[in-house]
Amino acid sequence: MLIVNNVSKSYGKFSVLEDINIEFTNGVYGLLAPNGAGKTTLIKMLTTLLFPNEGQILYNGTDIFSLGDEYRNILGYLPQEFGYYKNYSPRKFLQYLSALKGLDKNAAKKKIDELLELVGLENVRDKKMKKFSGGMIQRVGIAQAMLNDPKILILDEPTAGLDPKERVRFRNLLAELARDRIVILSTHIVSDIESIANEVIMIKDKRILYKDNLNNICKILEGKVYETEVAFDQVSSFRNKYFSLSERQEDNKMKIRFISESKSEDSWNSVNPSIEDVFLYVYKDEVIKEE
Amino acid sequence: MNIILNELKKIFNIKSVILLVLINIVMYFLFIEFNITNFPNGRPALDIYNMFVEMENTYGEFMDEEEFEDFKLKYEEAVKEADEYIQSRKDFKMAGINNYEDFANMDHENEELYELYSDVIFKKKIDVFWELPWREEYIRYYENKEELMLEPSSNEKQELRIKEILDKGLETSVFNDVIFSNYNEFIKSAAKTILLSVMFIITPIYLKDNKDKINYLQYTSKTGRKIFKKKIFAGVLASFILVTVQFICFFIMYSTNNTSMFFNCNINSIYNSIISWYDLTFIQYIALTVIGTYILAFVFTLIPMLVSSISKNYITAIGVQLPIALFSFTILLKYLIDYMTSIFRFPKYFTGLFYMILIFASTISMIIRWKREKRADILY
Amino acid sequence: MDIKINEFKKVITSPVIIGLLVLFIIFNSIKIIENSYFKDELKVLNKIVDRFGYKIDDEMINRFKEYYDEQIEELNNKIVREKNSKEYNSISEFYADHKYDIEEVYNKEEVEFIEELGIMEAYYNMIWKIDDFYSSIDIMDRAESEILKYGLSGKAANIVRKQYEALNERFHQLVNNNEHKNLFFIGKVYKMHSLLFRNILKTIIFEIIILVVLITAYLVNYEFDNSTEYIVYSTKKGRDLILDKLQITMVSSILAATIILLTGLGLYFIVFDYSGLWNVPISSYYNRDYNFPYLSWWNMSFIQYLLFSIVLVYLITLLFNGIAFIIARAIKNTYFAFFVFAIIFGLFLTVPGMAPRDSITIFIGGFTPFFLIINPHMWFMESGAFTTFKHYELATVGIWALVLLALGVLSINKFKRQDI
Repeated sequence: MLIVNNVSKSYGKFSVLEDINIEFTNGVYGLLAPNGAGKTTLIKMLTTLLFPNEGQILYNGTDIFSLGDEYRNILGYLPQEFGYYKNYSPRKFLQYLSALKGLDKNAAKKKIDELLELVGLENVRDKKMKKFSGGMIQRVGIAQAMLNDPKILILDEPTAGLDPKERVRFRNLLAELARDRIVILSTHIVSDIESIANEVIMIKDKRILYKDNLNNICKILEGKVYETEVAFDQVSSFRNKYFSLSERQEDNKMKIRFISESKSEDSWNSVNPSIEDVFLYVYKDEVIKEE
Repeated sequence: MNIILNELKKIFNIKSVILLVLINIVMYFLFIEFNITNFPNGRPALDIYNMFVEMENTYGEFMDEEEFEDFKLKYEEAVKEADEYIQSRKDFKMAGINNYEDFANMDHENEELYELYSDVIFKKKIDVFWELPWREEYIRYYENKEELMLEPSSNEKQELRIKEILDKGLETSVFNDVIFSNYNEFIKSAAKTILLSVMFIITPIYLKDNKDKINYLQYTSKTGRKIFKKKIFAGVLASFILVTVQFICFFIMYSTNNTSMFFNCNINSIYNSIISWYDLTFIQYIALTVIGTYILAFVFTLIPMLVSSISKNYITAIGVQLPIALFSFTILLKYLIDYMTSIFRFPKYFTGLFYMILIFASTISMIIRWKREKRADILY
Repeated sequence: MDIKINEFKKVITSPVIIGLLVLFIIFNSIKIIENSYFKDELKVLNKIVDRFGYKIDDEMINRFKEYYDEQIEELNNKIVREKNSKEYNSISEFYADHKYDIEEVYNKEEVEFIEELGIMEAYYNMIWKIDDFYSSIDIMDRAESEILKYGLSGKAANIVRKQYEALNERFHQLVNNNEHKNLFFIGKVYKMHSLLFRNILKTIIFEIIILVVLITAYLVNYEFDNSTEYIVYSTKKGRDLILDKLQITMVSSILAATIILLTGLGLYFIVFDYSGLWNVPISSYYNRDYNFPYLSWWNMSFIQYLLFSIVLVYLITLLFNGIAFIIARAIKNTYFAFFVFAIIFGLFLTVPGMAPRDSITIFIGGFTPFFLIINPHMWFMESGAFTTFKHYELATVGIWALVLLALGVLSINKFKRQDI
């Protein structure tokens, strides 16, 4: 079990995260927040790249920074900007990393071949990575994160650069893996979360806003999400009255999905709120701030 | 260990090695080659060299009083040879030059006489005439050795040391400035090349991985930030290997100068240009300069490592190290390698102390850097 | 225009480049000040020139002689008479008698008078040596000794002879014009020409080159180093940006060169007073630092020589800018690009020496900017077997400008069609 206990992080006077409390157990956690909210900061603290100013992060009761290599031994991390050696082949690169991960050379060889097959790169295992597409690089990244069979797998925007087919494949893989480990997924791609996350964590105003399963989170907007059709010239004024979640052109009218406290019109359709709706709703003032 | 081996492979990657070889080739031809192909450099250097080879052959490492008498005999023989040559030429007789003494006292302002002089010295290059003035000089040196040795001293400590040398009779060592200054020029240029090579190969060590964000993967692996320490070790090891390979190559080249017969001769000779605080033989001096270079190479491994770990890009790393390199190659080497242990350069323990300070300062800096890295936020 | 300004900002906000610039300025200043301990002695010449002009002709000689004789008289009557009864014909005689501290025997004013007169005497005495010295100069002899020095033969030797023949004509012209008969700082003692044009100018040139290479490599590969290449080169401006970058490197190089030249030369001429001497021909006998006098191909005054040298420095700056650009574009890694530049520099200095000593190929290696910057104090002058060609500097710059232009165009076109 991974516990984040009253953790705060600031850079000089600029505070990024305040009083964060989370408990992670086996399963998939979706970390959802707009950019700049502190997602990456939290992840970097979980991966020992940053040090909290206050509070502790405990793995099975012990501070991860005291655990040192014991903790990192069970850690697998795919960073958002994945760095690699252009002139290495994926096999050579994974060999380099497995040495760093303290894996026995022969065991590593086997594991590397397995993983490359798992991510579909077995045909290019000895080709230089500078010839790889973005998606292929990403798959190498996923492979390296799993080299040491980690108990905690942290993936920062892992499906960026993957095509839909690859994404589905990836999701299935994660779901499988999450049976007996902690998987933390930081992403914007709501569909990734929708399909596999056990729990969703949303950060707002430097704190944890929600940490709950999808259903419960969506319940926040239960009975408040509607869809209706509006004439084009009325869209503007409609937007001023209600918070629009999405708009789509259909049959010469604008089909708007929006939030309202109550059903004001009969023509409105009540729909089930999705996690995306919640995301837009929760962070709407941040959106407005930008505008 | 495997990790260190991997880091070594990264340091000695193919592109860097090729450039390293090219750098060494260019440096060799620019600075070192002259000292190898032009030794002894012209005349009378050649004649002096031959003279001393003969002396070492006959007298061994030192020329005692008895052997000095023999040396004087050899001089007389050479004068006879010169006499015979002069007498064999009609044009000398016509000019009124009948023996070597006349020849040595010729007025060079007189055109006719100068013609004869040039003919023998520059056109025909008769060996004995090149040799004789120096045989004379060296006889004079030997006869006045106490006075000449003591003359340049400017303080009590120096005087004491010189007297010590005289007591031990080291000044009669069969060793010459021609050989010694050539070696110093050689080792200075070799050291320059070595230090430049080390700086070149080491600088990317942290910069590359930091720039490419590989450090995210390294620091979050089991090895974690220990990679920083392992890189220090890998870097020092790499330098050591590099310096050793370079020294082997350079000394193979130097061996073509044929100075090995003087290896056991003491450098504090009256015929040499150094007076050392220590009773060093030539080979011991060579060893000392080699050790000095190794120490400097160590320091110059840590410096680029430090710069590498704080720079964000290569231009910064180069821009910061360029003045350091220029300063070291011109001034530092002159004081730390060239004519090491000379009593006129520094007080007795100064050089050793300075080396210690360099090692100490660079090591402490690296340790501080390592401690910082252990607790640093990895932001970029 | 904004784009260019932004590129320029990248350069001037780089702390390394600014830092090195400052370091170089400080270093140059120290160098100048270190060598300035004799600047007060130099002022004696300014005084002489003020009085008699610098041109040495019969009239000037007479006036100088008259003045000198007067001064010697004053020495004997006013100064020496008081202390002893000897009479001296020259300061050197005086010094022979007074080997030690004249400060103890004479007061401050008198010592000053004596020292100044001594220096003046040196200038005066040299006048009588000029004719003999120049009639003893055999230009073809010098050619032969150069040929011997470098072991040249065959065609190579003949080329040297040909150039020196041309030089010989110029030499005669020089002597007829009396260019050599002009006062200037005594080179044998003060070595001012070497100080300014070798010691200081050469250092300045190397500093400029270092900055030029760093600036160029930095800017040209900036986007790649900062991972912004995908964004930047797909904009409207796109790959045309490389032209802006090239322009800005040129502007920055010129700017850096100007700053270093201005501060360096500025301080130099503040420290050393050249007033009255600006128009002295550079081939003056007095200017000679070593054995062979400086022989310029054209009748140039000091100021002209200085200005032409400065122009040449700027041209060289641009040449190295071009070389650095082509290398930086070819070798994307800025770290390796820098060392490749250094290696190429070294190769251009060593390989020419390997050419056979009897063929004309041995001269080709001399016509490079790398060779050109080795002896700035001998630009436009007789300068040894390999660079004594009337239009050496012009030819080198001209040829390389064309070559670099061609290579540069190729390089830019390659970039335009290259995968990123």
